Amino acid sequence: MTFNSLNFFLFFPAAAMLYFLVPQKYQWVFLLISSYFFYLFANMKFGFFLISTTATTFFAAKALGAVSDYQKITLLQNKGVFSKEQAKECKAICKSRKKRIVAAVVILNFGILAFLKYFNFLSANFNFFAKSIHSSAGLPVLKLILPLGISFYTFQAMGYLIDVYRGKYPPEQNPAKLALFLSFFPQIMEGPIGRYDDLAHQLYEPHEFDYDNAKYGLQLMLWGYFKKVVIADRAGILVNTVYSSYQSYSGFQLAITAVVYAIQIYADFSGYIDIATGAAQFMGIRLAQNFNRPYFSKTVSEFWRRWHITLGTWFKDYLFYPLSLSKAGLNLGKFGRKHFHADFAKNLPAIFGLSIVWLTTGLWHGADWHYIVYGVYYGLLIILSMLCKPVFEKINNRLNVHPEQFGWKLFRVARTFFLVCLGFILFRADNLPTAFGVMRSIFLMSRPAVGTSLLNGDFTKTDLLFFVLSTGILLAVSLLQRKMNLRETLAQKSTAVRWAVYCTAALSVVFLGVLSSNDPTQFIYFQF
Amino acid sequence: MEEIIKILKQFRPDIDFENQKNLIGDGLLDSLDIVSIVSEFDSEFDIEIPVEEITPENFNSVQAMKELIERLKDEA
Repeated sequence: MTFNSLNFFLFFPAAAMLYFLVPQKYQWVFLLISSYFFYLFANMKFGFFLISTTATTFFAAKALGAVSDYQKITLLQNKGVFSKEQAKECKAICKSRKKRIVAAVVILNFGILAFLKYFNFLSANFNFFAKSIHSSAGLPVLKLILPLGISFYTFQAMGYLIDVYRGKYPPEQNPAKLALFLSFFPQIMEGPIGRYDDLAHQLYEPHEFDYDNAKYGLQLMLWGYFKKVVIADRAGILVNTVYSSYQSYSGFQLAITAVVYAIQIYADFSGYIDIATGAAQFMGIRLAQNFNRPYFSKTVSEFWRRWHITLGTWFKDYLFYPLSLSKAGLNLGKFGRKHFHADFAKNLPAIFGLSIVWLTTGLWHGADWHYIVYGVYYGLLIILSMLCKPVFEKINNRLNVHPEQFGWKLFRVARTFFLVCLGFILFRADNLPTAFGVMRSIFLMSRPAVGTSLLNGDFTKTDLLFFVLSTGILLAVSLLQRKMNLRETLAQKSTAVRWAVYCTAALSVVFLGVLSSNDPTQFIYFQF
Repeated sequence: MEEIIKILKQFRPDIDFENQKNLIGDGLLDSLDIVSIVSEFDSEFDIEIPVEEITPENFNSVQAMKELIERLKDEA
């Protein structure tokens, strides 16, 4: 069930109303049942994968808890008996057991994800390679299903398990409660990826109907729908048409399309997150922030701290730090200090971590070379900017550039947006040759022999007008958000003003949105 | 304390480490700085800072970093 389907418009009001009608003691049970109903509505088979991830995570966390308890009791019972070395040995044995448990379950779950997502990609590349060397060896191409949201709930589950392993909190004792944490319906399909210590207790606590939560939640949902159906889906018409035959368009038109796609993907993904966050808020549950006006970032690193925030922090906590601060990462730093310039050497552990994180980020987005290159592209940009930072600072000092000057800040924002648009070409193109073809046309400002107008397909002049107007509203809202909380400001206005805004937004979603009740346009991040 | 500040200044001379109490929360130190600092602490103080100790609470101020280093030295 997608947020923009008719089914959801029937499901959500019913689920939200019943949530407040069931006895508070059973609210979390109701939330679990409705979340599984929401998820399995698309395909019953998906349930097998979700339940197996939930079960393995639950039992592994329990086992980790048992080892920790054993360690505590043993050390307590032998206090004064154990020497320092014996106590250390006890801790080391327990740590090794815990490491084995967590490694087995992390490998199993990421193994399932990798098999379903990447096996056919691997087969295709292996078969291509075998054919090119005239070998008869080949791997089969399997008919695999990819459960919706598998990347999101697997990451959420493994984050929980690693936190239990690290001793951040004790394991959840109730399997049904863990099942709810991993399946909460607003976030299971596209995130935000929740943390157990932030989200779980909110799901299990009783909630009374709160007028402000309901009002702000519905406002946010409406804003999310506006972004999705008025902006993203309309932009999608243009982008899909252009990318289906990009050779027919000039470099300038392709550059415009790249900008339109950047707007589309932001409106699409952040629109989904707004709907999810608003739906959760209606029930009194606060989800983690996933976007913070990313296109106002001054550097690419900052962009990734403000775009898909929960994925970035997941990679930082569970991959970047463990890799960079592993023995391999630290030894690389020591090796660098002996053989390279100090400025370069000090960055080597981080470079090691970043390289793997960005390769994984590319792969996380999909099983295709253009996604891998997308990840590598950002990895290179961030590593290069880190290495060149001292040089840039020297140049800026020489040129007397003041970091707080408006013009300089504007230049940096524009530069970052340009680099991000280039990255999104790699992301949007169906394959690598198309991505490079589009980039070549843009940089050479090429002109096809027979030109095609951007307004020559399903994207009409009226669509262009609505797109420009709605994007203008999005930009204005983003600028205003810097200075005020818009929802609270709106709440202070008179009833007439508030309802005028609500009605205009609702009517624009209904009448200006690219809606189809039979075949709603999918959210871009559903495929991940 | 002074030794810690000296190390920190190597990486970020622009930050007033003596007076800042919310280095992570205010976004003054990012994850790349943390990795460089931790790797320097490891070799300078001959300790191993485990990943689970990389929390904002342990790196928000010089005092917090000092306490972390002392605790890890005691546990070693």
